[in-house]
Amino acid sequence: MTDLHLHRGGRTPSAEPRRDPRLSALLRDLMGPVPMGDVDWDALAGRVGAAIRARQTPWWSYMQRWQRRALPLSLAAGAFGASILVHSWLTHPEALTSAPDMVSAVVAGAPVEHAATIFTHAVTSGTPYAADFLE
Amino acid sequence: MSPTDSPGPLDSSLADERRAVIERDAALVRRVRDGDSAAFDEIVKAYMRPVFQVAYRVVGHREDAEDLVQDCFLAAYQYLDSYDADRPFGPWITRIVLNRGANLRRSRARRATEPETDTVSPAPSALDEATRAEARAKLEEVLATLNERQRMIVTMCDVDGMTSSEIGERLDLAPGTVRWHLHEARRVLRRALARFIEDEP
Repeated sequence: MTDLHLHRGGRTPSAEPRRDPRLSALLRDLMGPVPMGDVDWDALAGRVGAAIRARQTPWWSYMQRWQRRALPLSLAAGAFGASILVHSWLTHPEALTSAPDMVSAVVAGAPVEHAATIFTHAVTSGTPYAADFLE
Repeated sequence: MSPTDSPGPLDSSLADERRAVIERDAALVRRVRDGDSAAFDEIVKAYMRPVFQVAYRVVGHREDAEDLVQDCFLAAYQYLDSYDADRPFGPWITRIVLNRGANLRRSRARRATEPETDTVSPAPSALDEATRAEARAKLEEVLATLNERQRMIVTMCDVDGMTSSEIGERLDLAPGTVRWHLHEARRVLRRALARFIEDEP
């Protein structure tokens, strides 16, 4: 039983192989047809589309790229901020000490403009020109 | 080139049709790559039937095949950057189905599932139920010895009635290569199923 026409000197069949009806019948009987008619194609396409949209990269996932670097970066930013704070406290201590005066003035019911004047006066009192201007 | 491989008018029109499909797919893929995910819906609609057909032949179960189709289109979407748009899309996604389907089948090998009988309407058989069960077990055993390509080719040809050219187009193989695998697969199947074939009237 041969279903091949072979190339001379080779083993590649050169024509459409004849079907073996008995083997085909047995295979069809055992494997059955593909149940194309039982598939809801619209539903399947919808499922695929929904799965793809669910898998699409959300914008916040780009943050994940920075996940490993987030801790050292925030530590560095914190240290930088702290150094600025310390530096400004050393150079202008009145700027830091004046804030509580302003808060207590607001809490005590002083008008906002008055509280702002207290704060500005405290900050600028170290500067002769600004103090003269305010006086 | 043999006379059967020489291009005729029909082959020429098929080549034109094939080129048009490649161009259409390339345009759709470009749109997807540019961020238009709706274009992928068109790809899904164009290919889900042939993809399902292959998926069903790999896993042998309708619901598993539908899951496999979904999984393969997701994978295709995810790895779309690696797809060469100058090549036809069909064989590319068929390869994904064959690879993923083979993995799925292996991972589910322990789960003893009978092929669907409620949705499949088998042809009237001369074999009685006991012999059919035995033949089916033997067939599964021998199909497992074939490689994925041979299994798919012999199924597409002898069960689904496709020609070697059609199979070659679907799997991106030369028709001669398809015939060779078909010959090998049939040889193995005939030997293993000889008893059941001879029992047929």
